[in-house]
Amino acid sequence: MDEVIRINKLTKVFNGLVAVNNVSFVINEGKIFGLLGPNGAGKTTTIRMLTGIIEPTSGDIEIFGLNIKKHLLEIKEKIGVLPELANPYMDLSAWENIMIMADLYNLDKKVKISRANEYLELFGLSEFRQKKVKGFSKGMKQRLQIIMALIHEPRLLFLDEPTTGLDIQSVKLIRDIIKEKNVKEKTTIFLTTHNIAEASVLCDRVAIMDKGKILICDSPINLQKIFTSTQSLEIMFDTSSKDISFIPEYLSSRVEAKELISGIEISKDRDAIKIYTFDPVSLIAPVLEFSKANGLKISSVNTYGPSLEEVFLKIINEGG
Amino acid sequence: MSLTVKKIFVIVRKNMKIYYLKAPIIIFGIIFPFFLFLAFSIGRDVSVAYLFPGIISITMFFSSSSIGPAIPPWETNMKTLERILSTPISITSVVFGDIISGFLYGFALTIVPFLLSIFYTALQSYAVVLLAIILGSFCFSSLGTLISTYPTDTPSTSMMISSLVRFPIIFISGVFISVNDLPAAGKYISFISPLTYIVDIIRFSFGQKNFMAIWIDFLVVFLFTILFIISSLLLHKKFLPRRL
Ligand SMILES: Nc1ncnc2c1ncn2[C@@H]1O[C@H](COP(=O)(O)OP(=O)(O)OP(=O)(O)O)[C@@H](O)[C@H]1O
Ligand SMILES: [Mg+2]
Repeated sequence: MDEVIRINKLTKVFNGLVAVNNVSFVINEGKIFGLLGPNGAGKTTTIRMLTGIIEPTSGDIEIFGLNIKKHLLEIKEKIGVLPELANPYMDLSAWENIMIMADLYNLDKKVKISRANEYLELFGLSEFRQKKVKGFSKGMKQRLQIIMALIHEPRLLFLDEPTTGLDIQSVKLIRDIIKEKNVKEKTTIFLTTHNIAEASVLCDRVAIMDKGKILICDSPINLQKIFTSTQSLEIMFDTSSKDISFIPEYLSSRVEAKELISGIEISKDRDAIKIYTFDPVSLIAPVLEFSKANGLKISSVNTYGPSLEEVFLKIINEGG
Repeated sequence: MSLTVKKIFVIVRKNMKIYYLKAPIIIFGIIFPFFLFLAFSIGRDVSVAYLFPGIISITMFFSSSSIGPAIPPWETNMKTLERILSTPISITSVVFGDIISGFLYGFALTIVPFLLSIFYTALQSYAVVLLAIILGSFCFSSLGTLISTYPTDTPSTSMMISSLVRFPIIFISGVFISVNDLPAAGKYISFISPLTYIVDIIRFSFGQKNFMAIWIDFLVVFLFTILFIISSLLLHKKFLPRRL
């Protein structure tokens, strides 16, 4: 399988702050690679170096086997980029915005017109093609910007937080199209996200980054073990007359429940307990039983998916 | 047409649509020189024909260099810069696109007073004036682009700096008072302004007193243009990616 991206000991320092710290990885053709990490992890800085927008402080980047320092324009011809914080030109129409991109990639007139029509249709923007972007919603702008990144049908697509802050329909549409591009056309995709679920459903491989370093890089299936053990169940009680602090003890005494639990937090001021587990649903029954037996009234029960913070804590703790 | 030239003109077209071809920008570009003209002519006993070289020069200077300084801060602010930098176009081409946009705008607006002047007075050489308008617009547009390298993402800051640079130039360039009539110190200072040489060429073409051979004027403006372009390129290459 061909290597599309190879980076070696990539580092970027901004006036003393190490934003990306000695990162190396290889991405093969036709894969969807996800870079997952909290704010300030260095995801955008990594993408900006890979797309030739900023220069690394040190380290090497090869895209399609070409060194980025020597073949910058040639590489840029073949990649598509959705920057994290970008806008289309507000004073221009969707169509004019797309045409600027098509012309910068020097597309043939026929090709650019038919593709623009096709993508506008696909992204549900056909009827807005002549409307100025100024009036677009966030989701429409983002869809337009993905068209702008796709119009030259790049072999490699960089998407920096493509779905952050969008509504469910836009998110689904964008994810579906990303997946379809990848499956049908073997487009290699490099995306960043805060969202574990997104990374799990879309990516072949996920790297988790924090403070400029890659902590772990594996398939979602392997990472799933870490993800699922950081789910949680939160129960809030309706009363403060009873003490809830003996719940952990009780649950620990029930062997079948004990095995499910990886940690318990009690928040007395909120009359709530939070139980970390890979199987929140199975824990609901013993907790209900206990509450009934002890006359505790439950006001709400919530399950939480894995949060990025918890995954980090877990990885950092396990990695020592 | 070569690919590079094509891409430069994608930038030019974009700039025209977004920044230049707006009613207020064009109206301002047309009326502003006339207000300056009034300011300089009222209360002075000079003929209209005598003032034309000044109006032509000042229109050229002001219009060519007016919008350029605002483009990079505006694109930074509106978050459109990063996408352009990610496409296969070099920073050199982007810079030339910006310069050519200012040039076209400046040239088009300067043609207006030039045509008006033809009704009032006979010229020594139309070709020389035209050449001066072309070279001058290019030179001043490059100056505008050079001012635009100051790394701010606030267009008003950039416009402020632009005023700080451009207003003094008008006063030291013998626009409405011939350099010959300036005191010695003023004369020396006027030599550091490219506008001085453009004014000199145009005065010559209008049959007025000039102070230098026009081929020297042309050469000096040409050298200033090269200087502005090279420094714009160097500074933009350094600062454009840092604006993000
Ligand atoms: N141009 C810059 N100048 C100085 N510091 C920078 C610059 N760009 C990024 N940084 C710093 O580098 C670190 C990594 O930033 P980066 O934008 O890459 O993070 P990120 O993972 O994309 O975060 P987010 O999820 O918030 O987008 C941050 O501490 C940021 O403040
Ligand atoms: Mg980011």
